[in-house]
Amino acid sequence: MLVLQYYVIRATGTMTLILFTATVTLGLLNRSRVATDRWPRFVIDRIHRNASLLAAAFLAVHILSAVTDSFIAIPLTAAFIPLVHTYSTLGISAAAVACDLLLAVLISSLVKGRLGYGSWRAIHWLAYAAWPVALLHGIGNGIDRATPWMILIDLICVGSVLSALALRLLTVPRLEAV
Amino acid sequence: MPSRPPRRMNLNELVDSLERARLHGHGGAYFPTGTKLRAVASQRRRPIVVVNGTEGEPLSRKDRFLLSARTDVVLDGAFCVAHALGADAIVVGVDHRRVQVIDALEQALAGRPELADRGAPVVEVIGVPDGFVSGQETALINFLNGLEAKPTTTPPYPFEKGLRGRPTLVSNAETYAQIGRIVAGRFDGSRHVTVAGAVPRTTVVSVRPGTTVAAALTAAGGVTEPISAILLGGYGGTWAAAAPALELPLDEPTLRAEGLTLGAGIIFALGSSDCGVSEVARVTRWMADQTAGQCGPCVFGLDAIAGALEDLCAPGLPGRDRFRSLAQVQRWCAMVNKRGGCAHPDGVSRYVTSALSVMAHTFSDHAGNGPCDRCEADYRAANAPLRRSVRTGQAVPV
Amino acid sequence: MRSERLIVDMISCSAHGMCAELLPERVSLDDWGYPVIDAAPLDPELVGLARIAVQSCPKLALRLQREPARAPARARR
Repeated sequence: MLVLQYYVIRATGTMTLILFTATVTLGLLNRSRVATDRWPRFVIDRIHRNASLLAAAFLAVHILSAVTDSFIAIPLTAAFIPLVHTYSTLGISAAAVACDLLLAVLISSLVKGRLGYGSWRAIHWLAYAAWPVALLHGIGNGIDRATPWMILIDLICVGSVLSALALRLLTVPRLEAV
Repeated sequence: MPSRPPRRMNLNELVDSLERARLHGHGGAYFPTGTKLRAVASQRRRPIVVVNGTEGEPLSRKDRFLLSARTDVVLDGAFCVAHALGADAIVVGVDHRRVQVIDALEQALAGRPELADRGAPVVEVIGVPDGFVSGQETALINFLNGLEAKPTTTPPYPFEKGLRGRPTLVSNAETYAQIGRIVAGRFDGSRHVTVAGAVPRTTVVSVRPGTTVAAALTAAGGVTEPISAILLGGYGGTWAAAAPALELPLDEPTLRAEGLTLGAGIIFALGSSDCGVSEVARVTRWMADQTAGQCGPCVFGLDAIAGALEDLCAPGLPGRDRFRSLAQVQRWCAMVNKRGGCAHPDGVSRYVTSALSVMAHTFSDHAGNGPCDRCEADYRAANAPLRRSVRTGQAVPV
Repeated sequence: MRSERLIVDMISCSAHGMCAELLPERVSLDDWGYPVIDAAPLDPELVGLARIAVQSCPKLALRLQREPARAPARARR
């Protein structure tokens, strides 16, 4: 096994989690209509979008480096279909589920204009399901899962999403078209 | 029951005679009916004919009058249009509370000879939820399609994609009555107008284009007191100063040139014992409550305008606040105009703006000196504490 | 090239206000946060920015219209 690849898997996995968390947090903040003069709505929206694309790029490298690694030997199918791989079935299956959900969210957002608002939003909600599943994959499979700094990152991620979620739930909704 | 079945015309004959008669819709939008017919006919799919008899305008009585007392003339028009368009269905939408109108329609339909014809259109009478906006054409179509009776964004217009997704001719009940008369050769340009306000009772009168507002008031039994202002076109219409308005002919092109319209055919005379500010505040609040609740400017704007108008009638407010409210009314009326999915905010904007200019003195007097005695009485009545009646169980003023 | 105009579907709009941030040249907000749009044809140098505003609308309520709509007058009410 290449030592470099070993680092790449760990680093891209962690980066994906951080960027994904930032995306979810910013998305929630945007829905709560958070904005200041320095941070207007469109800036938060743009960072939300760019962070998500960056997360997708890191995820692609993460998957690619994991499936090409001869030591852990995960087949490509395992990255997309849950419960096909014997190695750490639960964690890798969680990864596959999160990966599929994210793919749906990503593609739907790329064709949002064509999809229409209602269908796009329904699919976009899958991100809320994907995030905890992705986190569980990290806690279950991450090589650094027991290190203090990784635990700290996990805690910050959970805190960030939960507090943004709380703010979202506390925000009185404006007039919404049904 | 009709003495003989009405003449049948093909599309071109019908459109030609409608255009010769210069027929425009009688629901308020004044759209040329012949043009609308052609637009529906130019579509690919088989059309449907909808008679809009919802009459959501609280001051109007003419559609329920025509649908129950001149039922066959309305149906003549609807059948004739359906024949010319090749429509296979006619749907009559009526406010669900107007049971007598629905009964009259069912009875008249039972005696129609056309229904025995091969390929005759299917005719349905459907009760529609009451409300000012549910008679708006897309709201009506949405309700008939099984959705909520709320307007949707146009395009697509009903003439492209209406009932059951088919091209649909939606016109006011009186428009069909006029078509019925045109086809029978009995059209003389007269129309039905509801006269309300300072008259013995709200009355539907038939007027010729040259008839003046004053003559219509006389026909409705004469005014019961001096008139301070006249509202033409109903709650989405325009106020006019009494003296010049009384001499105006009830002829739509002339009125439009004056910036006025009869709308769905409504004349409301404000008696001098009534307070214009209090009347405008009450109507505006009602109209604000009638919003379909879909567009921000309508939901928040109309509520704000109504609230600011109520400030002028509320006792105990500092004069400074009343002046500010009056200025806000002006601003907000301009702000909501043309900003809705349908024209509901535009109507309120027109109603209030014209009131402010026609009754400018009354409004500035209220801002400067506070509510008049009439306002205070209205305010007390509206804000009276309620108790539950022991006898009927209903809320009554203490 | 035909001129383009900005239009908003007020029924879909829920006052996120991003259009006014991105295209203050043509969009302002009313007292309740809903966009007031200048419907005049867009100057060529604004079309690109307008397109970004359209794509950024969270409710997909903002649109660019190619040519002036020629349709029957809007229904009353």
